[in-house]
Amino acid sequence: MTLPAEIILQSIRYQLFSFLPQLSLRCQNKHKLISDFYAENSSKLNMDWRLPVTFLNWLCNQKAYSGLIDEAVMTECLISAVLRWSLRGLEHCSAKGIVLISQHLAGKGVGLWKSETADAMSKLVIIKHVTPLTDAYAISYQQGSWEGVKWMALAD
Amino acid sequence: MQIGINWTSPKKLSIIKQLLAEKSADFCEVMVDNFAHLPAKTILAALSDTPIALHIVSSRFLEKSVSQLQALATTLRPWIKALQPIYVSDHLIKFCDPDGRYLPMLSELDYERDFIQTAKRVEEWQNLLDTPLFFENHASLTKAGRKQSYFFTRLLNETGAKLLFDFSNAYIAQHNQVCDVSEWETLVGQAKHFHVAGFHIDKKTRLAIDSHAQEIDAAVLTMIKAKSIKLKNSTLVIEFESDVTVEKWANEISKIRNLI
Repeated sequence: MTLPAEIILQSIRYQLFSFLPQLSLRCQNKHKLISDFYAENSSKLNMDWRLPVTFLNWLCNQKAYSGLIDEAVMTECLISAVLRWSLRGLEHCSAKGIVLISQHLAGKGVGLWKSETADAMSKLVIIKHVTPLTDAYAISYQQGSWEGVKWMALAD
Repeated sequence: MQIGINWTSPKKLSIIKQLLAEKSADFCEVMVDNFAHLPAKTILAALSDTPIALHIVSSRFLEKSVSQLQALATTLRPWIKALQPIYVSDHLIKFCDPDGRYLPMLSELDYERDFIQTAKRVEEWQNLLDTPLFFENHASLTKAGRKQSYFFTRLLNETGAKLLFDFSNAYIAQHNQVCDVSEWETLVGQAKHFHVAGFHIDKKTRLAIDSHAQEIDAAVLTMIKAKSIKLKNSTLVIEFESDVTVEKWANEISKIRNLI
């Protein structure tokens, strides 16, 4: 009763590349990239909001794809992750925002504030930080303030 | 028949408002997931006096712990009370594997094994939200969906839950050779609220896949026409998610109105 592998790959490709426009432009063979990623990660893959970070960490270890990665793509992966977080609104109704840092991006994090009005999208912000290089995130329950947030490791 | 349009994103608000102002649509179905962080009064103000229905997509009420569900209900219950929706709907699907990892695609329940625990949880979720829930039939891709209509029949009988019948999802299941549309006949006769949307056919596998991005298929329009008498006292939401314009949406609404 399992789905055809092709359908699963299409779903992963859609979910990843929908929010990665720069990587999407650079990558000449998205199907191979996603197939390679899935082949190595299928047994432990978690398609929750952290997927783009899992993908980034895998990508950074692939010599064959090293030409695809730079700071812009790394930033884009973090943006993709926080956008995916915002789309799971029923997991965190009372949260106001999230900030995410990566082991690959020194001194820089990506934040997202949920909209405060019915006609505005979430607001993305780039944040300078001095925390150690690691994959971590923090949730803010106070609109517009990261003060006092607690960093949590991103790994399962 | 009341025709609804689904509001899934803040950036669609101007389109929603225009279709409602032009009386093209009669009500708005709000996707709860993307707005539940806002006060109910903000939603009411954005939609003025428009009747509202509420569509929950990712409550994961079958997978959350009772305490997690109670916490979510604490937010949603006053929201529902304030918005006084035409209906509140949710989904009977799996988001995660048994280890809690999100799946690449939503998965159908095991309709033979999962009944007792699903029925129990449906009753708990209805009680926590203090409202009967309408559940949407799934757009089956695999043979796992063969017993879906039978499962729904039992579930609705035993829990007081209702069916939100999605015409295109039923057609998709039939196209994918999982479940004939006719198996829903009795349940559709009792249903009051309906959905319809576009789908696409995958080039390699030839499977029909729910997309909410295309125009409504001619075969699905034929299904709707066959139920036109039934639909006169019902609601029907025409769903679009992406790349939709006022003109495109209004055109789909006109097609449906002309059928009924």
